[in-house]
Amino acid sequence: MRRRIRLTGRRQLQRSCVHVEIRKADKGKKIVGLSLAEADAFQGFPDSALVRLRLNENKLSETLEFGTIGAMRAAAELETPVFSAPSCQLRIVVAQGDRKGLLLASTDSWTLRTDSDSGDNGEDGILLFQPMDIAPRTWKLEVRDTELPIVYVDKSVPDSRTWVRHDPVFVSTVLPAIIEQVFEKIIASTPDEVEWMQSWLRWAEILLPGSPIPDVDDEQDAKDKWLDDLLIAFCAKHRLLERLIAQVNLGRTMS
Amino acid sequence: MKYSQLFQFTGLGLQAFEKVFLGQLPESELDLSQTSLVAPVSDTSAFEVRRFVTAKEMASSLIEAIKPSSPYQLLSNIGLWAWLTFVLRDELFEVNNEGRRLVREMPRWFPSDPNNWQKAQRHLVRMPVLLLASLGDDADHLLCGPPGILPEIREQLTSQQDMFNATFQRVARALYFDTGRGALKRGAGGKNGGTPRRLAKVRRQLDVTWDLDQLEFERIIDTLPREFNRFKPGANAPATS
Repeated sequence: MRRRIRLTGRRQLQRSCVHVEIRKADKGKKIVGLSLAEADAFQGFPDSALVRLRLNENKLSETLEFGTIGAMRAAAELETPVFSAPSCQLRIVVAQGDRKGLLLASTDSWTLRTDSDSGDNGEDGILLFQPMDIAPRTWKLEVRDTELPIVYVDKSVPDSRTWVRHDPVFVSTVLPAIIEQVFEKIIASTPDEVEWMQSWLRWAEILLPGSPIPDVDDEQDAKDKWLDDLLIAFCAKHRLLERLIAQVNLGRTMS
Repeated sequence: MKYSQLFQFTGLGLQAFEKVFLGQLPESELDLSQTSLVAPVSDTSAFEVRRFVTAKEMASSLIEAIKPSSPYQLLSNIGLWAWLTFVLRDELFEVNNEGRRLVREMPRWFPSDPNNWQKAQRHLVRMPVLLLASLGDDADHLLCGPPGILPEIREQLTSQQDMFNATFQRVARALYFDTGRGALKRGAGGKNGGTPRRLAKVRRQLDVTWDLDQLEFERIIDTLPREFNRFKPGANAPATS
């Protein structure tokens, strides 16, 4: 069993130890609610320690205060109105004395959705989807610094979260393009330093076992070939062409 | 030139803007009075194109013009930032002896999607506005140069998502900005020990031990390794250039 050892004594909290959600309030304001999912999650911390939630998105940063361990507040108002799916990290911090500012505990970062039907604990694998007002575009990929890539689907598309996962046309035509774009970014980056890129590389290893991703300095031909092989393997594994043809034929039959 | 409010390029206008900056269309062909190319941005104020000594001065003027809207709301308005780049082109990009404008790489003049974390920070108009709006005077070290220059320090200290933190940037300002001269300290643009490139890495280390928001910036400066000593306030180091 692997154990994380931290010389500073900082405790690693599971993100599932809290429920975090964004709610819409009056006058376009947004409220972030935070509650404990595990009653003993904060056991052992001093009552005076601060409970803070740090949000980052698109070069915007905001830290929300949820009181102290001994007197936690359930909600805080979001001052940055344009957050759509910020990265989020819970931090427990010493409030006073010589050790003021010392981090006692933190979670890994996760993506906090602002759409009402998401909740915050849903596992989405390595790609996130979220309805958003992006009309006239139908979908838009956002590859982010430290958080999982997210695909926005225009909010006018009914039940878009289900649609992107199950619609044969979207899955067979758009998804490969998304995968291609994400891996183009990964190939041009230093994936060893980015957690989500490591997750994507583990996924690629399943499709292309024994074929490591090209290095950023490799020839462009080698990069193109690797990416092409990956997409071929993905389409073959999920029989995307067959699914698309079946859908097209179904449309013809019904019309 | 003074405009009664801010404008944005339409889709067609954006295409023409791109062609102009790629040298495929003469600047004179982009007629800003054509409604097919340009549309007003509602809830914005007058803006005058003039000589700006620093990027901060330019950003300050633009923040006023953006009111009563907010820069955050307009962050994704590619047409607006492109229009501003075009009307400010003489302030941002020199013209060489052959009459060719030196626009350098595309992200400096074409506003990338704000979510494009590798390119969006390089835009010469939008980024200074965002920095000043978010950080105020704590962005002095990032905005003290001429608006047409993309300094190394801005590249280094805006490259990570969570660098847009007032405390961290206050530390950087104290280290690298010479308040008396209103300019960067000598060596602040380098790659050696104690420079912004190193500060970006040290920040990541500090962030897993401390909640930087909770610390006074003087204490963070005290915590920094010796390599930063030459930049610390009060150091005799290369204080000025």
